[in-house]
Amino acid sequence: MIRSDHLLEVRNLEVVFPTREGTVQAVRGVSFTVDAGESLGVVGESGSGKSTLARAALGMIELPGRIAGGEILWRGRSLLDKRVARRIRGREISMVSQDPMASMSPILTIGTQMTEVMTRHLDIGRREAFTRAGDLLEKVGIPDPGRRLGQYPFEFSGGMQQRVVIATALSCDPMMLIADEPTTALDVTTQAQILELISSLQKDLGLALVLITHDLGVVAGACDLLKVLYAGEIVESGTADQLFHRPRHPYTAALLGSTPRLDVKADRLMAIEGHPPDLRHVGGRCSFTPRCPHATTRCTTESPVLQPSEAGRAYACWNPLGGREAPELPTARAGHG
Amino acid sequence: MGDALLEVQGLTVTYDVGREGFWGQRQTRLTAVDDVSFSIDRGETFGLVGESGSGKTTTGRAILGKVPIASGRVKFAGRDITEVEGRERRAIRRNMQLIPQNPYGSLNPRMRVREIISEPLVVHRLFKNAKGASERVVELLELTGMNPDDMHKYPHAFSGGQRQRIVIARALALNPDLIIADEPVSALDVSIQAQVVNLLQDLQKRLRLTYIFIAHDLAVIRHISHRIGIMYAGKLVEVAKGEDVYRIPIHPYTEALLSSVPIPDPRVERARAVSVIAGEPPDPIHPPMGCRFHTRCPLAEPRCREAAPPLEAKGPEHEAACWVR
Ligand SMILES: Nc1ncnc2c1ncn2[C@@H]1O[C@H](COP(=O)(O)OP(=O)(O)OP(=O)(O)O)[C@@H](O)[C@H]1O
Ligand SMILES: Nc1ncnc2c1ncn2[C@@H]1O[C@H](COP(=O)(O)OP(=O)(O)OP(=O)(O)O)[C@@H](O)[C@H]1O
Ligand code: SF4
Ligand code: SF4
Ligand SMILES: [Mg+2]
Ligand SMILES: [Mg+2]
Repeated sequence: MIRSDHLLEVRNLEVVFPTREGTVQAVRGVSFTVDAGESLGVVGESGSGKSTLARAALGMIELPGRIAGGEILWRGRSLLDKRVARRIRGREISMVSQDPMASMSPILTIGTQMTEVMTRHLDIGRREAFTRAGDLLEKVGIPDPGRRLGQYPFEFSGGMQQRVVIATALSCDPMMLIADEPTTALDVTTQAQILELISSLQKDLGLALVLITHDLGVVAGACDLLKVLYAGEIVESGTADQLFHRPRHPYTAALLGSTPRLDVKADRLMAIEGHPPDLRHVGGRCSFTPRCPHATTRCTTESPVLQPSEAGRAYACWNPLGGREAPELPTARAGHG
Repeated sequence: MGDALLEVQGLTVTYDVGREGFWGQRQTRLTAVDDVSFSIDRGETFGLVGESGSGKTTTGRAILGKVPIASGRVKFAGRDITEVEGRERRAIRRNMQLIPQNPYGSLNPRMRVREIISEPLVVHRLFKNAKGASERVVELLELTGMNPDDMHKYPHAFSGGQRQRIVIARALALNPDLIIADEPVSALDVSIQAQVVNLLQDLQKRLRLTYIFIAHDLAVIRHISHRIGIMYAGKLVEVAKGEDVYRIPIHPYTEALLSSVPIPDPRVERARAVSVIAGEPPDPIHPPMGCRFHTRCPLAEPRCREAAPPLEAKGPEHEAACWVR
């Protein structure tokens, strides 16, 4: 056991995928913590390392992927130890992913699958597990659970499948739920249903929630704390209010400016020119440099590290936005914005 | 209304989807688009929004003549496209181009960018071959913010946003008046999505294009559209100016859709009354009688189960299909 006061503590995590064309550095020096009952949003674009981070936190990085450095602690125990990870996964930490079918067997009934998970992890018999499965389906808003338990996944709509996955994820009373793009494959009215379900379960059960998404709208309502991921690194973290209303990292600001809003009509979206870097060739500079309107020489020669600043927030930038408070770091240029 | 470039009247499209009945004696038809009417002015962006399966793509394909029309009319610049033939038909075809829903599937990986972009030019015999069209291809690449040298590369060398620019360049090759863009940014990351949305808006101004912009993302639709049509289960349930759809929605489904869209602002989200709508869209093969939304509608009355409400004017430039509102 290593001393850690947090539910989950990730320290300096490095995850790589060796490929024929070079080594992809998918997660680069990521550190963060999750405490009991917290709701944390992780936002990033495609390829920024969100799913890799989620899988690492469950001890699920598979070959050719490799954890090249760092530590992941679950209540003080290392999840890098496969035996520990296997015991904790699905029980103390549960996961819901984008594709509900990926976590279900197409040839077993919902009831069989749910009871199997419970009898494996909990000290209960099949009959008790089956009753519990019915209660859980009811809790996640599936009508007529008695009949539904006898059905196969294909007999459910996408939204209903995701409800079943959520019910299964909750079946062993986990302390933390990791939801990786849980609503991306769903229509917007169904998304609203599922997000409301996740939020209310999180509050009722006092769960810690890690909600991973590319959609700023999704985290705005559901999460108190936020991390912004870019090219495998956390570039900014803080409360949702801090990041949405006073972003300090130019990428966070650009992401907000690129996102159209239903309630405010902008004349023009603030596009970010270019595209994210090739993760086989990163490091030695700020990875946002080629796209950043505030880049200075320093940005091209030195990689900024995530530095804590005021009120519990942190950002990795040499020229942070919002000049009202003095930036913590010695900067080439003072604040902008 | 001003200068209508496109008029769609009572458009209905069905697909044959297997047989029903004990002996398979009945052909099962799915009505993907049911009695849809709208018109679009020159230079306007008409946003078509709705959830998966609501009939957006089918509407676009029917306008382009890519699926047979069961009933109704499509008029382009005053001419009924189902009636014209020969040269006139080809001319209309050239004037309407598609940006298809799946940008990856629509680029042949074995063709170089020059061949891809010049394909419509060669098919319509404006040039003999891709090489001959080089000058026009360079023009189109520059127009879409690409590099002229890119014409010698293959699609795999480009990112998602760049591929979408190639698709747009190809759609512009024949100088069309109308572009039907089917989910042109749905597969892109938000920072790239913004680039493409801005590009489409710039092109519209420069080339006086008319767009049908199809998407399931209401925030994108509201941003880019002058007018918006909302589809539900094959029906057009509301048509209005973008502002009005947001400010004074009439149809209960439009309201449900608006309240489901998350706003990227925690303060707004906290203050918002959550009114999640229950249920799911109906089975398209066996849609409910009457108003197709009655199975989920909080305002449904007995008459809603009996007959389908027509799309009718409810205010200035504002139409909706609802018995109650
Ligand atoms: N098995 C693998 N082999 C090689 N590279 C991989 C593998 N899995 C992920 N990667 C790479 O690691 C990086 C991070 O991928 P990841 O799936 O974590 O991103 P993401 O943020 O979840 O993206 P998305 O939004 O598309 O789901 C990407 O560059 C990806 O190509
Ligand atoms: N080729 C086809 N054969 C049979 N049915 C089809 C065909 N194409 C579409 N459909 C059906 O027609 C209905 C409308 O489909 P359409 O693709 O037009 O919807 P959409 O609004 O574009 O949906 P999405 O948002 O998923 O693209 C759906 O029920 C669909 O299953
Ligand atoms: S470090 Fe420099 S390049 Fe990176 S985000 Fe900050 S200003 Fe931009
Ligand atoms: S017609 Fe009736 S069921 Fe349909 S939307 Fe209006 S009130 Fe609801
Ligand atoms: Mg992912
Ligand atoms: Mg479609």
